[in-house]
Amino acid sequence: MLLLKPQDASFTQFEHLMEVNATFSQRRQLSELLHRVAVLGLSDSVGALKLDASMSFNALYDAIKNVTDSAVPELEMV
Amino acid sequence: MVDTIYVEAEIAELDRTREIISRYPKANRIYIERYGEVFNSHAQNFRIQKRNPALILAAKKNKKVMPAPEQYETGGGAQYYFSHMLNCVYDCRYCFLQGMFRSANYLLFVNYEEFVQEISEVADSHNNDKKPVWFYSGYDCDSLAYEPVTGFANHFIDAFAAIPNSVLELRTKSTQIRSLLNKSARDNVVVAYSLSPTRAAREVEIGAPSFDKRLDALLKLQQQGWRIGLRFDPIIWHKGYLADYEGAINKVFNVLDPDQIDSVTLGGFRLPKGFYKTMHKLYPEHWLLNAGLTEHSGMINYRRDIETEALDKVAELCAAHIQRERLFTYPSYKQAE
Repeated sequence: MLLLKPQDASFTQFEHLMEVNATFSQRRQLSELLHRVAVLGLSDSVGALKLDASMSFNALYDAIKNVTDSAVPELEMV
Repeated sequence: MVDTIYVEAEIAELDRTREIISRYPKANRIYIERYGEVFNSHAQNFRIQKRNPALILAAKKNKKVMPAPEQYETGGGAQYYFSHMLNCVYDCRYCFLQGMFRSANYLLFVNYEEFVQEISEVADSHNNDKKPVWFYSGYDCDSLAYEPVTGFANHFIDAFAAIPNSVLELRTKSTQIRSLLNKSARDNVVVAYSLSPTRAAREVEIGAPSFDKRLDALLKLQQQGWRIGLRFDPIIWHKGYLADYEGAINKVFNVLDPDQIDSVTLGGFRLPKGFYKTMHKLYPEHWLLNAGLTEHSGMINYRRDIETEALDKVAELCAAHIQRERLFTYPSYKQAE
């Protein structure tokens, strides 16, 4: 089941993670987090984690959140 | 360009209403009973409406002057705010208005005299206070951006001259300062500019005058003797933000006379959670609404480590130019938390 599926390549890249064993609310949280990954351009960093839907939800979520939390947005050069 | 004007029947014949309408001779005019019929309607999309907002002319009923949160002091006494207008001609990504209102239409309350009456009554109730009562304008709109149409500042600056124990603070990003420059400076008016460094302003303060243009307006006002304030609020966190703020702050204090600046305030990004959720639905793709944020006491703000660094470091940059007693910071987290 997918929720709030953003229409972007990086989400598709991690779509398999939504198969994690989780509640409706947790899946929504994960979906929002993956959206943030896409917006902040963190797909490579998350991809490097080699995450798997067989992991526990908390492990999966925390691993991705560590990446988004450490991201600092860059502005275009003016 | 406004192409539709909604007019409450009650104020349709006021001189001010007629004058505003006359500025838009080609606009469709629609007469309504109460502005809520249009402004509060459910079936509206803020983002779409923002592309071409209508103007609603109405009378503000009930309470017009509200107490301002104590934490937002700038050195004055009791604090209040009032809004002659709801919504703004600018489109800043951090602005809570897009989370608070369903409509992006400009709602202008034209019963200025009733606002002034209530402001006078509130000021009277503070007659024995040691410090003047502060009245903020510009929470729910930009105080000056629509000035050529509204004549708001022109009217209220003169009105405040008759309310001696009061200060009017006009919060703005606008360069529409002609009505001020046409007057002599007043002791009880402060013009406070929201400022962000050029790069950040370009990405998040859509439609607002550039940093340099705002600084130019500040200089003109200061040179004419107007009291001015600087508002680095919210501080926009991004890669290299401290260097950007250092450059902006150095430039501001090189151009302006620091001794003639009334106050400088600093604040972090902060929004009620419900507003944030609405705004995120409107602009899910914007980095500002996706980076460095967390929930704290029902508010969405920067993580504590980010906010603390931002407020402390930017305060240090300002303190190199201005005395600490004129520098105010608005942290989201209490010291003991």
